[in-house]
Amino acid sequence: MPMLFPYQDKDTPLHRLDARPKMVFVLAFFLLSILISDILYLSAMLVLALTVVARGRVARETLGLLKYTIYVVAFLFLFSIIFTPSVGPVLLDLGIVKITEGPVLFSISMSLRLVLSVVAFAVLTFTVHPDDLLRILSRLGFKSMTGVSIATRMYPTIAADSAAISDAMKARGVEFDDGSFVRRARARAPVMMPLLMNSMERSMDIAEAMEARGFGAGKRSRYKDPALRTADRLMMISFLLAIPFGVAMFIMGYGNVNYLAGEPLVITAAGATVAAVEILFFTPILLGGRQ
Amino acid sequence: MRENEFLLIVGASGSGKSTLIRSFNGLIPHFYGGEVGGRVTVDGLDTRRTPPAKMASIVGMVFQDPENQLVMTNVENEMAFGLENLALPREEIQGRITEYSEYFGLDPFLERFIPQLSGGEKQKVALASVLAMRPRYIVLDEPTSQLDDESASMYLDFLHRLNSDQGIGIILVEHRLERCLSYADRVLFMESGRVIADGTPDEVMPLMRKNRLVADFHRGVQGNGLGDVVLSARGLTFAYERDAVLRGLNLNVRDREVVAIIGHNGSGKSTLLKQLNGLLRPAEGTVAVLGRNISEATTASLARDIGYLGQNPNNYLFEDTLEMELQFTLRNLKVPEAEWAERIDWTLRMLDLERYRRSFPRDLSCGERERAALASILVGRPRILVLDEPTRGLDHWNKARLASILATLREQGMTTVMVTHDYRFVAEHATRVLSLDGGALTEVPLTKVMELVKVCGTEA
Repeated sequence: MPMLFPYQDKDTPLHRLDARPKMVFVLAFFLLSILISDILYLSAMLVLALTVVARGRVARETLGLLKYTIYVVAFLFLFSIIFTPSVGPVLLDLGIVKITEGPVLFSISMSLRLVLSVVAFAVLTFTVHPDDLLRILSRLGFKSMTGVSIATRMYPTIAADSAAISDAMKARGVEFDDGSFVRRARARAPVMMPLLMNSMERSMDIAEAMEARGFGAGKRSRYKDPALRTADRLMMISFLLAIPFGVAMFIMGYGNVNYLAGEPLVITAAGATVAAVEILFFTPILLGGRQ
Repeated sequence: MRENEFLLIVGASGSGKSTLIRSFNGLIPHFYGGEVGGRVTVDGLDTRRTPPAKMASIVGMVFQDPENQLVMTNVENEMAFGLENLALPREEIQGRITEYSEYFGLDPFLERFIPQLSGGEKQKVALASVLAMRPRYIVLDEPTSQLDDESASMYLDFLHRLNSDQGIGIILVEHRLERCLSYADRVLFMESGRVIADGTPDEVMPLMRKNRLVADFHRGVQGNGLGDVVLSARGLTFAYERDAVLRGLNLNVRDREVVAIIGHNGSGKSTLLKQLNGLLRPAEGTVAVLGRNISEATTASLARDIGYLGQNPNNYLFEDTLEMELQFTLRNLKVPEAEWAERIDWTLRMLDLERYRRSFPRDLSCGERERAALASILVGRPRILVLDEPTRGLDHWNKARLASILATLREQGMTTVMVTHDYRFVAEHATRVLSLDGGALTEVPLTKVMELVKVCGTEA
């Protein structure tokens, strides 16, 4: 059976790092990538993010995820170039459509944000063990989040279900690979229904089995809950500090550019320094965990 | 029930076995609700006043499908899950995991991903995880129904050992009766929500025989196929990534044969079946259905000639009523609407499902769901039927019904190819047996199949 589990079981400094600092990293990094709009800052963050992914040896998997964002990026460019009013110098004159600097810079900025968010969550998906995620979330009191983690565990089961249902439907005369995109998409509908019903039946079974094993009785103990090292704590503090720092610099006008209002792409010494400091808050993640 | 007793609960499906055992650990009424009259007392505790989570340390429970009771991703964490719920200290959890994983022979598996384990291994992990909580009784709801014969008999042997070595009380609902009857101290026979017999296996035996829960071996199939070749495979080669599964395999199936294909787990039996109707395509070699090469035909277009029923009948059922389910197939196969009524009537009659015409198929019992899924295929009137583990999860009575359906279909000209682990079913109902090993098929004489039946202890 092919391995369908998204988590990549590897032995890298990033995998050895406790899940908690990693989760704080992803959260802070994600928030900042939404906040910041300056291409310079975003590019610096992207360099760091790709270094982190490379350190965790999940670059190939991350690129696999990014493959799907290409469509969104293409759409973004097309949409903003055609539908936003011309701003700034003309880069290319195609007669009916004039491509101007403003919308292009804006699209680049938005695409970078999108890519950064995807890469941040790739770190979570590929390097945090789902069991750790379950343990941490249930400890924080997110009972419903336990379900999210079980969904991760059930992923291979549901993927196998989906393949088997496709086979069943083909055997009942459903043509999947015939006709236009819309027709093919419609042919998939009979797969979704049994899949949903199977999953609902499974979820009842799982809830029952968990209850029969004493889940929800009250206080639980924790089998694997290694204490945070001082290094882990310092890392978490550093990632958390990046948020107020980011907000402060944003208010002071660093990293905050409105390209659609005609602001050009400029690199100043002050800007580069602030960006470097902001990135510095996140770099401890590259240290990873202990051997 | 006394301490360390081995209690077997039997009865037809729908007789209330599952409901009864769920009241032993308080899942009824706490999880399911409903009205309860009477009282269940376990070691002096009233299950109605004690929540299931508390009962968990006294009565452990193992369910049918191992897939749906394992919540963690690796074996070690899975075993820890219940112990954490009991709020045990870490050292105690560590100690118990070591102890029970050794007892179960699971120590090499501790770090393994649960989705990668086999069904038998998963069910063993489920049992070990429950046992590590040190319950005094274990309730098991058809724990082997998803396992093949070999794993099932190993599993039941193991339960017997638990009962005799560790003195744990066992309450077992099971349909592989032949194997567990010798282990049971006591048998409860249930019918329509009542216990109508309670005694030693020997005392309850006549009643079980009468209700066809057990039966003597009886070869139910006569003759063999001598007609034209209706299905053939030549030089089939197939590999998943780099692992070759089929290596130049040849197969000829003649008209009205019932061919059974046996073989170890992972020998490629299901893969072979999927080649026969184009669900998978060979790297080399050809398949011909009714004399026509299928390399250009889609599975859907082949559905009129060759029907395929996969392992899980649930995958076939989603419409509001059984009748609509059959109409769905007819519409896909572009059968003229004038023929629909006649075809649906014929199919429902053939499978004895007429009274469920307007029922939601998913409300049916396990055996009925299997027949409903078969109906959704048969309504297309294929000439050849391909079945993957058709007896999985069925009790003896439902297997007998399936066998008689296959026999009737055969009289009407149906050719059947099935893959199964159920040696007894094969020995009773197949006209020819083939074994898939090393990517090729070899004929297995009936005497050899009979030996396998004896080894797995599934004969009466």
